[in-house]
Amino acid sequence: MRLTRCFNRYHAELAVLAAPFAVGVMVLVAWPLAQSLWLAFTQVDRVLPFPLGAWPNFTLLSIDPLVAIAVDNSLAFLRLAVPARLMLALALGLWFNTRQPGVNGYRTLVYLPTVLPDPAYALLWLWLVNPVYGPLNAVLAGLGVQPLAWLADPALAPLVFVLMTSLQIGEGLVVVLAGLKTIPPVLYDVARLDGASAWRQFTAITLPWLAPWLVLLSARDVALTLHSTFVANYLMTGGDPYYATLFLPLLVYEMLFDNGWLGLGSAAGGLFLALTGLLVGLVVWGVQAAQEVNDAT
Amino acid sequence: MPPKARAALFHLVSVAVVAVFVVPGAWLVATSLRLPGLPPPTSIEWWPNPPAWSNYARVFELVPLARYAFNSLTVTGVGVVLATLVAAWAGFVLAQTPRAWHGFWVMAVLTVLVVPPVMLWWPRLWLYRDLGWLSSWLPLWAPALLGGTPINVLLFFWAARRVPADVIEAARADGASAWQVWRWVVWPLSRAAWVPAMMLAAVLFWGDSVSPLLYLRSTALATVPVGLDTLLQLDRSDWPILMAAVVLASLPPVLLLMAVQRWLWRGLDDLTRRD
Repeated sequence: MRLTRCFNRYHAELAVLAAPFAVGVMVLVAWPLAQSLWLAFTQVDRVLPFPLGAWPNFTLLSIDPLVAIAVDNSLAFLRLAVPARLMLALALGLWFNTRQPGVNGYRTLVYLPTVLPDPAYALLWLWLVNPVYGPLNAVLAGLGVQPLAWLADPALAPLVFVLMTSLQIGEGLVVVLAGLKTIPPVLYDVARLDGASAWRQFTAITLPWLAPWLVLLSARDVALTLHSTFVANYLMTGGDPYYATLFLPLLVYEMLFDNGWLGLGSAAGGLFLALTGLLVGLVVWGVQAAQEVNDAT
Repeated sequence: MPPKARAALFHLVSVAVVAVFVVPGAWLVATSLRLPGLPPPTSIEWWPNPPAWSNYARVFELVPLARYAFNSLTVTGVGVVLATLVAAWAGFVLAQTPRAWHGFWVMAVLTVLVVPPVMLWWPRLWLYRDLGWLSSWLPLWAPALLGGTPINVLLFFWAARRVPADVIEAARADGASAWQVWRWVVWPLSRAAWVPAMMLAAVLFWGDSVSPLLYLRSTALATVPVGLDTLLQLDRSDWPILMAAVVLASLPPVLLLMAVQRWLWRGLDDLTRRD
């Protein structure tokens, strides 16, 4: 009897400690999300005076060419940015996973761009790629290459954002290093005794052991690269040139805040949420399935 | 390969790799020292001659940056403490649940990350308005209730999971409450998560440019990102002044990283050491 009471009391105390986070999730995420999704099914902004089927906002989204452009841009960005970030974090993690003196200094310097405030990092890049004043074109001139228009060039502008995000991989580096440290060194000793090549050691030991860490990292990176372009996007291009850098967060923001289309913007936000959820889900599920196949064989 | 040649090769490649991450920062500092109003440079200037230190003074004349910096430091300091506490408590509690639930918790926390922040801004604005929080720093501190970022909850969750169950059992047998178990057993043993979590939270609060622009109704409360936003109106040829502001805005997180880096990399060993 006494034991049960003790047990219950401890659980009640745990609940109190978890309360702030639980309240945060409910009040700052769940409730605003519910409101936003509810708005998506209303015509609060009366964009159109006539009814447009059962789901007017979603019908409008399907015929708005900017929505398709923003989805395409965001997906193209994702296809380049996520693999670039993962590969770089993995390569740097492997390279800096050593006991050489001075390695911590190098790791810290790689981490450096990651801690810069978003607006500062955006303004720095706006300067770097300035076609007239910026040092990147000066470097190209030194190499004898014609100056590039960077953010004014629809083909190059999205790549500037890929480049920017690819240098902010400090957290990825930490995750890869943490994952590498979980691998028992004895596995490599055995592999070497068996005469396994470095590549074979990488595919047979390193990658499988890193897999859970890489899943987590890629799931976070998919969400992060989709969501966090906003500040740089807003400050640097505003979606220009010719909508080449109109990514989903900016589109939703413009609908909601510039145009005041609460219903339509919320519907676009819902679409964005579904897309992120689908892609993160695919990453987690896909890697798990691959692992099961791997375990079975 | 002899060890000496190996080390030399390591440092050679490392310097080349690290240069990619550091050189933009070096250009930033060089640009911030260029005299404003000059025509575009014809080649890369690594150190302008003469260096225009006055750009840094001009920043403070154009915007009340000292005021903004004080505000940002207050917001960040309080925010980091609150966020770390919330994340550490939540991570501890999640780790105390039956092990079978742990995979579910990781998924649940990841689900929070899936929600696009842009969807939440309007409803949060209404919430803060109804609470009477506009024109205060409370909207800027609110993300602390999410542990800064839910990733922090996961960090403390993993750290708390590594605390041996019998240590916690022993403390509870001695009559320790959940608070005491956390304060005297789990928190000291989660040292590995302290620095990464505080670093993540500090970067988040210091760099937050959306919340002050959406929720602050008083310039007296404005933070550093608002100052950057104001200076963006400068003409391109006056951008050395803007770059000086960018350097100043970047300095605190960079100094913080330099100060805590030892513990960051050492904590990595603790977090993953196998028993």
